[in-house]
Amino acid sequence: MTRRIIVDIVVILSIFCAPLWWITVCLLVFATFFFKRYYEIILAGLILDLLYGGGAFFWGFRFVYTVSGMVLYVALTTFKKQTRFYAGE
Amino acid sequence: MIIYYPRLAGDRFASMRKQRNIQKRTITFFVTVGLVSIFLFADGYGFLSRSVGFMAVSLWKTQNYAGNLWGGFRNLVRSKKSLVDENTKLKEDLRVLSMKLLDRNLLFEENLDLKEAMGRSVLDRTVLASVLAGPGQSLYDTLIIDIGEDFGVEIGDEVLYAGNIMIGKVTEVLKRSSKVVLFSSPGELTDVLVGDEKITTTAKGRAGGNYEIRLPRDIAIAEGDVVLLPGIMPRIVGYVEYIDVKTSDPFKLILFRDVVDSRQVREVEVVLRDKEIKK
Repeated sequence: MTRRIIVDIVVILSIFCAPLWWITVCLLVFATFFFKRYYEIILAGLILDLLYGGGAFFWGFRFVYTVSGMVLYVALTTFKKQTRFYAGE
Repeated sequence: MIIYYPRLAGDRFASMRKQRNIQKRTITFFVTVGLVSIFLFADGYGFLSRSVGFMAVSLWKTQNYAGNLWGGFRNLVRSKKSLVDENTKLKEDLRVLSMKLLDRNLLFEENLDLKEAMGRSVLDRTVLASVLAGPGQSLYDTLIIDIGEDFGVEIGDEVLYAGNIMIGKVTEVLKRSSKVVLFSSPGELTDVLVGDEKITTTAKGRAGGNYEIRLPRDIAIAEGDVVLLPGIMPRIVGYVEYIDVKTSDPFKLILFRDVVDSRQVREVEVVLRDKEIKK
C-alpha cells in the first residue's frame, strides 16, 4: 500500500511538472502493470483533461485522456490476464 | 491436519461477505451517481477544472520559484554554466529581435495604408504573462499562463508573442491563471490571410505548431509567403513551408508553421478585450 501511495504521488507530480506528457503516460502504464486494479490511471487522465484540455482537439471532446485511460486500463488488464507472469491475480 | 469448520460458521462468513459486497456496490453506485450529477447539473467540469487549476497554479509557481532559486545558485557556483545560460538567453533575445525585424516591412506598409485611411491609429492594451505550462506537457496544444481574472483577462482575448506574433486565444479564465488554446491546436480553425494578394481562407491546426490550408490550385502561393490574421493590425501567424500540388486534385495543400516554437515560449502578452484606445 505504501508503495502504491508513493507511486501515486510521483504520478501526480509528473502530471504537473514533467516536461513531456509521455513520461506521465509511461509511469501510468508501468503502475497499471505493477499494481492490481490501478484505477488511478483513469483519475490521472481526468486531471490531465481538466488541467490542459481545450480547443477543437478530437472534435472538441473534453475527456480524451480520461477515455484513453479507461481504454488503456481495460487493454492492460486484459493483457495482464493473458500473461503467465500475472496469471495468479 | 485438516480443520473442518462447522457449517454454521461458513454460512456466517458467506453472509458477511455478501453484506460487504452489497455495501461496496452501494458506495460505488452513490459515488458514480454523485460524479455524474456534478458533471451534468452543477457545471462539474468548470468546478473541477477550477479546483485542479487552483492547486496546479500554486504548484507551478512554487516550481518556477524553486527553479529560479536553483538557477541562481548554480550560476553562482558554476561560472561556465552561467556563461552558457547567458549565451542561451542572448540567442533567445536575438531570435525575438530577428522576428520583430521580419515584421518591419509589413508594419511600414500597414502604416502607409493607415495614413491613407484618415489617420486612424489603434493601440493595444497588453499585459505580460509568464507561461506556467506548455504544449509539451500534454497532447493538447495549450498554454497555462499566470494571469487571470486578477488582470482582467477574458475568454476570447488574443495572445501574442514578441509583440506581433499571434499564437492563440484564451479559452478558460481562473482567478490567477488562464488557459490559452494555440491556433495550431489539432482541428482548431482560424481565419487567415495568405500570400502577397492576402487571400482570405481558413487554416486548420495540425498540432506542434503546424497548420494546413486547402486552396484552388491556380492561386499563386509560394513557399516563404507570410500568413496573417485579418484585422486593422495584421498579426503574423506563420510562414508557408511546403506546398503539395497533385495533378489529379483541383486543390493544393499548403502547409505552414508557427514562426515561434511554442514549446520554447516563456512569456506572452495578452491583448485585453477593451483594447482599442483611440487617439
